Amino acid sequence: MTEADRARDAAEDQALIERWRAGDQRAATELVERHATALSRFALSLGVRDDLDELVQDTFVRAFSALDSFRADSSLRTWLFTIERRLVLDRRRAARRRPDVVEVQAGDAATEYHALDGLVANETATQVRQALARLSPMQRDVFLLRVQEGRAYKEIAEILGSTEGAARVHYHNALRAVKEWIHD
Amino acid sequence: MIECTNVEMQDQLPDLIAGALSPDARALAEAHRALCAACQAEYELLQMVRRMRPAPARVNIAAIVAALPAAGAQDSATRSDTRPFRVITGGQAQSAPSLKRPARTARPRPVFGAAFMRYAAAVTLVAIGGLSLIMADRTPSLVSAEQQVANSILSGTPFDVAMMPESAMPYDPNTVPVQPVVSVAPAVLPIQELSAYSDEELTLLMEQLEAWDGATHVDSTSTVPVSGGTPFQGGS
Repeated sequence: MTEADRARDAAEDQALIERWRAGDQRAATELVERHATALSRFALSLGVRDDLDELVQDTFVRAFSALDSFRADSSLRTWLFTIERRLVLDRRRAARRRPDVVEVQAGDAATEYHALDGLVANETATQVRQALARLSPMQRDVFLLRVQEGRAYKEIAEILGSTEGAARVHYHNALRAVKEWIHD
Repeated sequence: MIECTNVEMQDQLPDLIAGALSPDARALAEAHRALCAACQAEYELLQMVRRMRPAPARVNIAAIVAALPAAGAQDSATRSDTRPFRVITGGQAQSAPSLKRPARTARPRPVFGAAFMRYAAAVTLVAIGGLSLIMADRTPSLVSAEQQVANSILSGTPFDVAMMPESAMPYDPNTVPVQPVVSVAPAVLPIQELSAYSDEELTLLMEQLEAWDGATHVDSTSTVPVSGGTPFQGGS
């Protein structure tokens, strides 16, 4: 998606938001249709496996309840990603407080891609998957947002609550680490 | 491992894979990739990571839309997290009375208010203070014992040696048996004009004054006559 595509998307999102504010419920449906798939994919990349529907729904509910605070200096999708990631972190914190729930550890990320084993069956792919699992959570989030979602550093920084420079550093550190682990 | 020195071009590889570059930038990046083995290797690695992108899960759009707050009603009353519907995976949205999380529910009002607690604390403080005063009044202290002994000496009345502070004992308790109560001979000369004292009495008084260094009560009472041996035997 080029800059021009993003600008066009942002304008369409803004128009839909205005229509929804004016009372057009169909605008909400269009907004959900435009972003629900990306949100579900992003949740999967964050390691979410349970209650994905509920997570996406909670993200939209929270976003629509606070649309007044949405600033158009970032795209709606970036803002939605930010909300969804916060919800994921909240869930993990809550899970840590519940002793009967198995805590999601960084090592568990290795199982995130088990469903893709059939698609990436070769040895290098397995090495890449294992290398990704060994990254720190922040490095992995930055790396996957950059490579899999094609997000710019500025957007990644907004989503992760970091800075553009820090996102860039995390990306390059993650890339170097993945390369080293593959070649070891 | 060979590294590319063109950091800018390296940085554009994810955008190249995502198709986020303009046609001109894309042409430049492709030209660089064709010549740079490091960038080519990195491009293939990133492409593999991109292919690992998880497939999007199917979400129930209708249920999500049904759970959204009403259009155009964004006042504070509708911004709560209350949702009339909840998604059941693979099914229809079902009515739910409230999905507020327990952590967000209002805490129950305390049975006793803050004012009552402040009042109770004040009463407790006063009660404890009063009790402390009463207990202090009933407990014999070093000062009161001293005062009592001094009063006894001055008035010539018998006093209880046991009431004296241990540090003020003028004798070794191992050698001199402690008498619980002793009689004090007339220990104090009646206060009168100096001219009324005899020479012997004045001499005794001077000796007393010289022997007393005035430092502590211990020294001042060290000459208290006990067991019949008093320096003032000859007093009037």
